[in-house]
This record gives sequence, C-alpha cells and structure tokens, in this order.
Amino acid sequence: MMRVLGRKKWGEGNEVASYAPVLKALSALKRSSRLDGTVFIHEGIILGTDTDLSDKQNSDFVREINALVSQYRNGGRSLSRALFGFDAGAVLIFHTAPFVLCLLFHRLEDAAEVEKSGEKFLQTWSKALKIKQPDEIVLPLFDLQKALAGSAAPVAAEDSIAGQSPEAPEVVAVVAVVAVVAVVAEVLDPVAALEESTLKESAAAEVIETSKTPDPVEPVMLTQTELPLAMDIDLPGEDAEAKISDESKEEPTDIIGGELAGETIHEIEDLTEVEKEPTSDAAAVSDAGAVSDAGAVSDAGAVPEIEVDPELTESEPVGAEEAPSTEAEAVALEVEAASPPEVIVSALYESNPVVDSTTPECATTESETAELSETPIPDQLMNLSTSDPGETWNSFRQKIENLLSKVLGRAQAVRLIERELDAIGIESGTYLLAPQFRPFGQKLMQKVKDKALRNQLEMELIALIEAHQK
Amino acid sequence: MTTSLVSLLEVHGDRVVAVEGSGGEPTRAEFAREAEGLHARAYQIGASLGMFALSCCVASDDTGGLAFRFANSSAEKFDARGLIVKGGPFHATSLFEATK
Repeated sequence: MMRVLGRKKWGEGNEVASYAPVLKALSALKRSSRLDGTVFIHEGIILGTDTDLSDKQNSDFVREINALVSQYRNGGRSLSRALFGFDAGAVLIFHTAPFVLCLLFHRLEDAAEVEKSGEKFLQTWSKALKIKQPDEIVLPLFDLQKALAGSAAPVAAEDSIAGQSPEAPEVVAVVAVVAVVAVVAEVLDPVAALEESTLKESAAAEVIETSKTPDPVEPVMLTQTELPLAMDIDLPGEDAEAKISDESKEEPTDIIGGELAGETIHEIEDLTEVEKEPTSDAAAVSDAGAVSDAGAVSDAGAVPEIEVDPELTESEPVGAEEAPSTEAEAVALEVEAASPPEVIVSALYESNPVVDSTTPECATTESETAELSETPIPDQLMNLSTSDPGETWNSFRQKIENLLSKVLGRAQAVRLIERELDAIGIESGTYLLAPQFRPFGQKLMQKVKDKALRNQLEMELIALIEAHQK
Repeated sequence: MTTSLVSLLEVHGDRVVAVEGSGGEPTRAEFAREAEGLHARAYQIGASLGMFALSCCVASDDTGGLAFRFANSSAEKFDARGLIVKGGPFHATSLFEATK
C-alpha cells in the first residue's frame, strides 16, 4: 500500500522533477529487502509511506521521528542513524538532512543487512536528492575490542545514580592546575607551549582504525512476516458502558421482577380498582381468578376457591401512608397495614397445612419497600409455588448459614440471620417466600465488609437463590 | 576516524557501573542522561507503531554514538548494558552489536 502524501518538487531553473521515482525505488527496496514498511520524510513532511499502518499511525510515527531529530538538533548535534528494537519489530532511521528515511523490519537480527540496504539506496540516490556524498553516507563500523584496546584502563567501578550528574571535584582540580601551568608556559614561550599541547593532544587521542563497509549489499533473508499492526486498544470506557447498559437492562428485571412481577402488580392494581367499585362478591371472586390467569399465582387452581373477605376489597394501599424512616419501620408499617389479608392467607394455608405462619416477608431495600408499599401484601402471599414454602425456606436458611459460615462462625451466622429476620418482623417459626430470598440474602451480604469476599459470596448467593426458586 | 572516549557500562537498578573503557563519573552521568532521553523518545516511537516493549536503542550522531539494550534474561546480571562513544558517527548496527 503505497501512499504518496506529498509530491514535492524541486528544480534548478526550468528543470523540475518529482519524488515519484525515489518513492518507486523505495517500494522496490521494500520488496527486495522484505521490509515491513518504509517512510520517507522531507523536512518533517511525509513524502511517502509504504507501511501497513493507518494514516494516523503514520502521522504519529513521523511526528515522533521529527521530535527525535529535533532533540538532537537542539542539543547541537546532528542525528545520523538510529535503531530501535521492539518486541514485534524494529525501526532503522537514516537522517541525511533534509531527508529522513525510516525502514521498518521484523527481526532485529537482520538489522545489519537492512542498514546496508538503506545505505546502498541512499548512495544510489544521493546525487538526485542532493544529499551527502556517497562515501559520507556509509558510516564506519564500530569495533569495540579495537576501541577498548586503545582506550584507557577501566575505571574502578564507582557507581553513579542514573540520571544524575554529580560534580567531580578531583578531576576539576587537576584540570585547573594543568590549565594554569599551560597559561604560564604559553606566556613564557608561546611556540613551545603550542607544540607541547599539540603533542599532548596527539598522544591522548586514540586512533581507531575503522574499516569502511566494503561488503556488497546482500538481500535480506527475512521471512515474509507482516509487521504487526498497532494494537487496537479498546477503550475501557466503551466496554464498561456497554456492560453497564447490558447490566442495567438485565438487573432490574432480575431483582425487581424476581420478587414482584410487573404483571402481577398491574393485575393487582386492576383488581383493587375493580373491587373498589360497587360490585358483587361474585365479581370479586371472578377478578381474583383473573389474577391467577395472569400467571402471578402459580398455584392457580387454589385461588378461585378462596373465599375473599369483603374487608380486603376496602383496604387501601400501603403507599398512602407516610414513608418509613428505616427499613425495619417500613417492614413494621407494612405488616400492620397488611393485617386485613390475613383472611386470604388463612384461606390459602388451609389448602397447604404445612404453613404455620401468616406474617408476610418484607423488602430489604428502599426501592423494594416502595414497590411493596404500592402493592397490597396479600398478593405477594398468594404468589406461592407448588413446593412447600416452609421447607424451601428452611433449606435456603441452612444454605445461607453455610455460606455465611465461610466468613463468620456458625453461631455468628445463625445469630446474624435471626437478628435480620427480627429486624424485618419475621418471628421464629415463620418463613420468607422464595421471591424474598434474594433481597434478604443481599442484606445479609452487606454485613460482610471485605468487598472481594462479599462479591464472591453474592455470586454464590445468586446461584443458591436460583436453585431454590426453580 | 578517532575515538576520544569509549565506555561500556551496565545499569544495575538505578546505578550505572563502568565495565570497560573510560568510565569516569562524568561519562557515567552522561550515559545515564543520554540513555534516559533516548529511551523516552524510543518509547514514544514504539507506541506510535503499537509496539511497547523496547529491547534496544541505538543513536549515532556526528559527535559519537550511544547504544544500550535491555537484558534478555535474568542470567544476564544487569538490567541494561550500554555503550557510549565519542568521535564521530558510527554504523548503528555495529554499535548495537557492541552491547552484546
């Protein structure tokens, strides 16, 4: 994918040419040397890119290369060559002002061959691009052994903190003494001093024989491997938002719908509205049957047989009362307000002799309290499953005791459950219904202070509740 | 081509230790300063390409060169090994090879 972003032209007099041939040759270089990409820059402007990167990545890359070149230029030096090796590729940079040639390749081990290829390319085009002489483009190889052989003996390893440049007072003092001596000598005999200093410099200078790069350019034996594209970093915010939106779509139905089905609420409201009208008892019974048709009552067969007390139809919703200050108070108020439904409850329990309690369960959160306040209590009690609710509660209580025993002592767990049940007005020998397991369990989980533990327990709690609600 | 300074150094934690060559305090301090700047720039270059794990850096200018590479394994008893050279531009790969 060759992109010619800038078609700069130059010329002398009427002679005008474009960079197209250079870019074409660069494309050929990429193929012959099996490079991953090439970027050609002129005075900070992209002349052509031949990479698998996106335009933004290319522009970002060129911006950083310009910054590197500027970093050296601002330090009074001119960058000649740079090599950066990364985990998934390497970049070799040739800087021959005003051009910068960047070669991207895959394996760092092939850097020498790629560098030779780049030098060869620049040599070929040096005249056309009017850059350095071909001989100047080829840089000398550095031989560490030869350089060290001619250098001073290793300094005793005194550590220095990286990034700091502490003073070296001893060295400064010696230099100062030498400088004073040199000045005095120069005053006394300038010619002799000049000769002496020249000799000292020549003696101090370490002549390193550096060989030029005589080796011919050889094709780089690179495996055909694509330069890995930049990682598409998924913004955590997007995922989080997506998850939150998904959860927000699901959570309410899980929590609220699990305890108080929306259909049930509406049907109940309809029922109360109808019952407020001057109708006969038979009509009320038929309306009660409509509740079972709506699916809110699983044991629908038993409901039509219930003899509805006329007082029930006259009961007002709990929500008409003042809002309770605490959950326990809310529970107490609701229990008190729910006293009329006892008739229905007793009627229901006649068909289910295992049940020995008439106390309704209570919501544990404010939202659930609000839901309950708008909903007549008896309808929750009518939402009974075919299984024995008392046994289900005992089983659930035993499981939740086990669950809490993971972070508390067994006795502590039992006391905690009893205390919470007392707080919501559930006396000994009574039980919660399956839809209330979850808010009650979550209220218990709030007692666990450690967040990680609490999350883990809540996950187990949900599984536990689902198992008991089946 | 002449070289007035050659120093092979190693980085151990936050300390620069001279291994071979002229490794005086100013040299070590210069190496640390130059390497830090080059490292920061190299990281930015790599990030623009989507590559974040830097393994080596080499830069050669008209006054000398600097090269360093990070340790390949814990068997190498250093965090990074580098080289600072004065005396003219050098072949980049040869500078890198000298750090091995």
